[in-house]
Amino acid sequence: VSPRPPAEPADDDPDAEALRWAGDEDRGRDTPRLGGSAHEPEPSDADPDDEPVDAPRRSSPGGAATAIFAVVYLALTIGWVLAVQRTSSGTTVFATELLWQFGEFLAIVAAPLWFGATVTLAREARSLVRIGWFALGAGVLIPWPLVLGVLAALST
Amino acid sequence: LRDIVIVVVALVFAALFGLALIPAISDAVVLPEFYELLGIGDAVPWPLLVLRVAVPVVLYVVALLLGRGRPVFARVLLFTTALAVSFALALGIVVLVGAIQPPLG
Repeated sequence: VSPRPPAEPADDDPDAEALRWAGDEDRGRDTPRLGGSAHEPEPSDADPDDEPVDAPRRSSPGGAATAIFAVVYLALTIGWVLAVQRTSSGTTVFATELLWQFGEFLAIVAAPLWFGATVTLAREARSLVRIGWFALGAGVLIPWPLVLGVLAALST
Repeated sequence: LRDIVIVVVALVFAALFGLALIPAISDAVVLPEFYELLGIGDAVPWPLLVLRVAVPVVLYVVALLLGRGRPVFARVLLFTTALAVSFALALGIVVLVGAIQPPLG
């Protein structure tokens, strides 16, 4: 004796209708829940290695360059922090000393400012343009007081 | 109102760039006399002294030109960056002038 299959609720049964959700027919009952038949995509001639259109975008070269230059500019900032330790205004005049300290502070924040300005203002620009601005800043903002001090120490 | 803010920003940063210009001009005037006094008047690093005076002016103009047609925030960011670079370069030039000064006596 085989077990009796569960009775299908009649469409006009109000209790059965209360247990249904809109869309049940499409998603759960009339179509299989696991892969198989009805809505399986048609096999195509496309290369299986092709990326789907909505695949996540790979990181661009510009993004990688930004990450690399972030490290470079961090090193430049640290370089300037060390560089200003080696300099002094050589005066006790308050106004001159104040201006010197102001200049040292700006020299330290120059690298982060250049990086931030490039990221913010060249966001829409091509990667090559952004990389060019990054490279220009890295060249301009070499901490010469530190470099010259190290060179002098090495030469003696 | 936006135009007024832009002009005020440009004037405020002109004054700040002037702060970078004052010691540069002062050095360009005083250092040759000082070198003459030390007997090394021929070794005045004129290119570096001129560069130190030119840097704030050039960077101000560059920031002004790059900021054209941009919002006020972008202009302020450009001016601030240019000012900071101006002081950083000035610091480097000052140290370089000291480094290439010939030995006395």
